Parts: sequence; structure tokens; C-alpha cells
Amino acid sequence: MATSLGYSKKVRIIYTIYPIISVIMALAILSLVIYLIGVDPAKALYYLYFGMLGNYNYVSETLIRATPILLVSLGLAIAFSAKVWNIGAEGQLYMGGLIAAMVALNSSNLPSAIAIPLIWLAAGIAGALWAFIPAILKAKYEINEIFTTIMMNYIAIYFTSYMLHGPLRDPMSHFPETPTIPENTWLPRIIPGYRFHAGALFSLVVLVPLVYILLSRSTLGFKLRLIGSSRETARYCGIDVEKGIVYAMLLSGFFAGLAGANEVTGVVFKMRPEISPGYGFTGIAVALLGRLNAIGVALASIFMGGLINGSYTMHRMAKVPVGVAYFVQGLLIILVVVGEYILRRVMLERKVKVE
Amino acid sequence: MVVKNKDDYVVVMKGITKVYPGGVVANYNIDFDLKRGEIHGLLGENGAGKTTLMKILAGCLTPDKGEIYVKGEKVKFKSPIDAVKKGIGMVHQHFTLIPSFTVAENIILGGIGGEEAKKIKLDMELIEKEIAEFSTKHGLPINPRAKIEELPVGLRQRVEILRLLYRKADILILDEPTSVLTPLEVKELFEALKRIVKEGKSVIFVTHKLDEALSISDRITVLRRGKVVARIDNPKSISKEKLAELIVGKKIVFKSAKAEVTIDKTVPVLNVENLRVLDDRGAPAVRGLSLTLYPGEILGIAGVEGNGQRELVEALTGLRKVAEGKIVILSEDVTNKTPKHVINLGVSYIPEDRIGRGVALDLSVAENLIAKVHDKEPFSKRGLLNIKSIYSFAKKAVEKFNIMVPSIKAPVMYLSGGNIQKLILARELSLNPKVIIAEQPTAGLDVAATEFIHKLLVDFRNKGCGILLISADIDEILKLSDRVAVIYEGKIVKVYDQVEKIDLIELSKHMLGVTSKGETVER
Repeated sequence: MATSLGYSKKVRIIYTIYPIISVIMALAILSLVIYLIGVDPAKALYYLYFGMLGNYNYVSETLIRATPILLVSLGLAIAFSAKVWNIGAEGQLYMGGLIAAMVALNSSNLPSAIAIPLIWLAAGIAGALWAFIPAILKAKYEINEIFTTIMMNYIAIYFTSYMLHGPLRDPMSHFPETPTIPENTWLPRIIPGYRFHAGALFSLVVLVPLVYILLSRSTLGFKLRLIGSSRETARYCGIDVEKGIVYAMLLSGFFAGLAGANEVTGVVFKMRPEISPGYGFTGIAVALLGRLNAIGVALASIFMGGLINGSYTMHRMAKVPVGVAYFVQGLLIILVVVGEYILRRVMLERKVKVE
Repeated sequence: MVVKNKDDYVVVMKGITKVYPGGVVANYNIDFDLKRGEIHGLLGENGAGKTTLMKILAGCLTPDKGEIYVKGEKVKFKSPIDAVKKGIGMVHQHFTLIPSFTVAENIILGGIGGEEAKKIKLDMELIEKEIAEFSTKHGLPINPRAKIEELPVGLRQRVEILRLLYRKADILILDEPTSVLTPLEVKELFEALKRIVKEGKSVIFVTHKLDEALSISDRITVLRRGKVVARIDNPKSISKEKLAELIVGKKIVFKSAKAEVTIDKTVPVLNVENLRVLDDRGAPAVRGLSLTLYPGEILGIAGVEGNGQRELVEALTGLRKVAEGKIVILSEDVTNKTPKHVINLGVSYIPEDRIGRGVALDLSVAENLIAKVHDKEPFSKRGLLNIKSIYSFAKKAVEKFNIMVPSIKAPVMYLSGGNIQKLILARELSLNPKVIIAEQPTAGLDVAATEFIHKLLVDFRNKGCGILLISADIDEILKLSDRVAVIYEGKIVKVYDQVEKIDLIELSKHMLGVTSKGETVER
């Protein structure tokens, strides 16, 4: 009989803790590079850590930096669970930010408790609508969403740029940007003396559990995971796969839109052409590193946010280029994707005994 | 004496065993040999393991067990390139030519021979001239400048063969070479093959058509369910009937614990009228098929794989569009309704493709067990899953169906093939079905699992469930069915109302499309 309940337990344990292993490997490679450019890796890594979590202010800053990444990657975790590869979060974030600024600029008469949720909702819908176009193309015509979403990024970014150079430009500013949004639409700060704002708190305390429940405890999440595991099986089980693909895309677009609103209402207080230094792409690495699990994604985005902030400190104190954050991010994508692929192959190719 | 064998046998395969991930045993302890200068027919139904065995010989697959000797030398192929170096070449069922390249370009893809190899620049004119001469010499004339996409299938196959010969292959494997050819092209191919073996080369001719195997082979090896069932040294000595029986298996009809159930058999649970369904390429696969299934019976659909069974099942379950005709399940017209609609009517479907269709490998055992009912109470309420009731259901199902799992929370990818099939059965039979469509329910499973699944199916039949059993395994069909319908070329060509009275030779002939006169039915 072809039976045996598995292959070595070791492989399974390695698979479980692999995200941590890949982070360690990435930092090891980073240390080597730092050493090669003539800096003491121990010193550099210390400043990296210090810039991440060295004092309360750095912790607050890390969480602020992590929030847009968290919002994007929560949405991507939903899409990737259904194996819908939305690479367009950056564009969806820009559309969200643009709409957030437009709504905010017209909400000076509203109380904060109404204005802010309204702005976030509008931004989320804007992101979702931007994702709807590739979603429909994918569901109805099987056009690869990777290409369409990547292309939609450029359209969104240049459209935003046009709006900021033209119709929405603040006539008083030397830069292509909107006027500062009214103060009643600013996200309140939670702790006096720190920039830690309500958007970061809301994302961590409300949205993370919400996405966790959605993915692992809801029928919609179940459908999406089933679609992600095997479209054929999902169809066979009576699930409307096309609808699932559209939902996955809309939800991830919604969260990317929220990331745009978070930056406009919590950090910059206006819309600018460089509102995001690539959070939409960082989110891809974070979603994968967090294993498409809301809690994993939260931890990974805090790590990534801290890495970006820490790399500035490391640059100031140890003269290591700022780009290292993105270097590590790229390494992580490669290590996570390749490593997990190999581990899965090992697990599937277990030896089977024959009669 | 070893030296003599070395010359006589160009290929010796000993004890070849190949198990696919998921536990399907494609080849089990197979011995096979090939003599110099012979055409060796490898005969068997689809799924008997012929292609797997040949892919192992051609270096495309590695065996789990067994030894291979080529020209007296023990070999371990890591890739097809290793096999080519030993002179083994294979023409696959699906051709591997580049459509936009010319014949000559395709032939030299694997490297150029002779003087030309030393030059940097390709002198296509010279190469084309060489290939034209080369092809005429082998009795396979072809225009080297023609583009592959412009050639009919018969000539494309000729290019495949020429390419092997050009690479100096002297052991040629042809996998179902005639399935794409017209009778005239078949005749030409056979003549060419006979000429090739006269040059001292050897040919393995893989087929499921017994007429062809008989007419061309010097020797025949018959495979069934991954094992060698017969080796025939003198094909002229064997009758077609005997060979047909060897291919589909020795029939031992024994009664299982079937209860005599008295159920109203006036109202069918499933009625199919004049159904027409297209396959993936848009060609008709089901061509005007009608059948009726009553409650409390098992209707066996016997037939060689690839005669429209797959498309029929997919049409019945809502997974494939119906081009024409009508499907009525439990008095409701379900033609072109969604899979969900068909499931909700009480139709369970045990798919042939267990891994690809039957389960989601990444999801847990428990999740797979409730995949079809996850949005129904008690498993979920207002869009939220009830984990407790899912786990308690899964625990019971795993126990009841004796599924060996590390944990109900473990992903299904950790399960063996037999246990995956039991899981699928557990899910499907828990739906309280009124109709069960079972597609190759025991293919590749061991005796114990097969018996277990047979018992479950009979139990459900006794409870008044209508079961449509699609199987390439005649033993299984005869053992379980109350009635047997034979499918050939997308139509039911014969229905036997009494299994006991089936003439096995006649059944085999219907399945293989051979009329009572012994002639192949025209397509």
C-alpha cells in the first residue's frame, strides 16, 4: 500500500520557521556587503537596530513607517491567498491618496469623527475601483493580472502627477502639491510628544484582527484560499471562481487605497507626487514574508518599517548607503520565494513505499 | 554467453517500478527487453503504464526501482540527453517540433553531424540538400524547406522520426504513433518502420490498438494496470480475441454484497438525451449520447479511456458546457447549470483527477472535508466559519472512513494517494447524495483500499442511490454494475441489462470499436 504519513519532521519545522531563517540570511548577506564596503558590520547593525527600536521615539516612528506598508500588505495577503497577483498596490495607493486629499479639502465643515472615516472610505473605494479594471480583465478574459496591474501603476502615478501640476495644485506652493488639508481631517495623535497617530493604532488593533478573521474564519476567506490552492478544485466544489478573483482584487485595492489615505491624513497632510517611496512594492515582500497571515504580516511590516528608518540612522552614523533597506527587501523576496518553493518541492516529493 | 546477450538484446529493463507523487503506482516490477532489429509492440489500455515505462527508457523520468541495460551496459539516465547519447530516441504523443521553423531547422536542432559541425556559419542550403538525400535514403522523403506549421500531421511525425535517425538513434520509441494518422499514412509508416529495422535498428511501438500491434510487431508485451500480463514471442500464434482479453483483464465476475432492493425504477435519477459536448480543443467528444440511470442501481460505463468519458462527466457536473442535448437530474433540467446547482441537487462526484480536482493540497484535511458545504449550517453562520463543528465533523469522518492523517489540521499534501481518495469519498458521501458519479474510483489503489471503496459504493446503491461508474477497469465494472453501457467515440454503443449474461469477448470488441466481423469501425 502506498502509505506513509510523511517525510521527515525536520523539513516541516524548517518550513514553519523559514521566514525567520530568511530574515537572518538576508541580514547575514547584508553584513557581508557592509564589510566589503569597509564598514564594521557589528557597528552598522547596531545603528540599524537603534534606528528601528532604540528609544520610544524611534519605536513610534517605526510604527508610523510600518502603517502604510501594513495596510498594503494586509490587502495583498487577501489577494495572494487566492493567488491573484496584484502588483498594482502602488497605483491603488496613489489613487487612494489623491481621492483622500480631494475629499479632505472639501470637508473643512465636517466634524473630525465624520470627516476622517469618510476620507478613508472614499480612498479605499478609489483604490478598489482602480483594481477593478485588472480584476475584470482577469476574471472575464483571463488576461494576466501581473502585467495589467504593473501598467496601471504608471497610469495612476502619472495621472496623480498631472492632477498635482494642474487642477489640484496649491497656487501658493512652489511644488506640485495640494494645499494642506484642513486640521479637522488630520488623524489625531495618540501619545503626546510622539507622532504615533490614530491611523497606525486603528490598523494594528482593528484591521489586523479583521483581516485575520476574514482569511481564516470567514466563508469568503475560505473560498479565496480554496481558489488559491487550486482553481480547478474550487470550481469543482461549486465556487464561483471569477467572482472570487474580483473580490480578492477589490479588497486588496481597498486596503492599498487606505494606505494612501493614511499618508495624506496622518503623515504628510497633503497629496504629493512622491507620497509613497514604493510602499506598494514593499508590501509584496512583506505579504510573502508574513506568509499571508495577518499577524505575520503585521510583524513583517513593523520589521520592514524599522528597516527603512534604521537604514537612515545607519547611514548617518556608519556611512552605509540608505539603499540597504531596499537591498534587504529584494533579498527577502528572493530568499522567501525561492526557499519556500524548494521546501515545498522537498515536501511533495516524499518517498512512497510500494507494497 | 553474456557476450551473446549483449548483441542480441539492445535494451533490458529489470524490475522497473515507478510511483508518482500521490501514490499512484504507474509501473510495478516491470521486465522488458528489446532485441536488435525487431519491432516490439507495447500494448495496453490508456493508463496501463506504457508511456511511463517508455519515458523511463528515454530518460524523461527516473524509476524508483529497477535496472536498465542498454547494449549490455548498465545505465542511469539523468535526462533525455543521456538517453540520446546511448542511441535512444522517442517520438512523444505530443510532438516537440517548433512550428515556425523549417523541416531542416527542426532536424538539426539537436546538433549537426559531419563536416558541417566544424563550421561556424550555418550553410542551410547544403544542410537542406543533405537532409533531402538522407530522408529519401530512409524511405521517408520530405521537403526540408517546408515550415512545420504548413505540414499535415503525418509529415510532422515523419520529421520527428527523421530527427531521431539524424541523431543516429538506433533504438526508436514511438508512443501511440498512429493515433493521429489516416489509414494510408499508417501504411506508409509501417513500411518505413520495417525498412528501419532491416538496417539493424530497433523499434518499440507503443499502442492500445491491437490490430496494429498484431500486424507490425515481431514480439508483443502486454501491460495492464502497471504490470506485465503477457509476453508474446510469436504474434501470429495468438487470436485477436485472446489478445483483447489480455489487454482488458481476466474477468472473474463475483457477486458482492448487493442486496436485492425494490425501488421504484420508473423515475430515473439521471436522464441524458442526445448529448453533444466538445473537448478542450473544440472537437466533438460526446456525440449524441443518451443514457438513463435509475435509483438503486450502479450503471457501469465501460470503455477505453478517451472516448468522451471525461467530457460526459464534466457536462453532467456542470463543469463543461453542453453544446447540444439535455441533462435531467431528479426531474430537473440541469443542462448548462452551474456546478453549485448540481451539487445542491444531491449529486456527488468522485473525480478521476484526485490531486488536481479532488482536493486542495494546501488546505487542511478538515477544510477539504467541508469544502462543498462550508457555507451551510452548522459549518458556518452569517459568513463566519464554525471551527468547532468543522473539526468535530472532520474527526468523525476521518474515523468513519478510516483515513490515515497526521492530524485533521494537516495540509492534504501530506496524505498518500489512497488516503486522499478516502478523504474525497468521505466528503462526497457525507453530502447524502441521490446520484453519485464515480470516475475511476480505484485507479492506482491497492487491494484493501479498492475493496473499501467498492463496499461503500454498493452500500449507497443499496440505500437507493443511483451510481454512474466510469472505469477503464473491466473487472471493476463487472463486479459492481447492475447494468453496463459501453461508450465508444462519444456514444453509447451497447447496453447490457444483465451483467451475468455479458459475453466478454463481445464486450471487448465493442469497447475497442471492433465489429462482429472483426473489422475496425471507421472513425
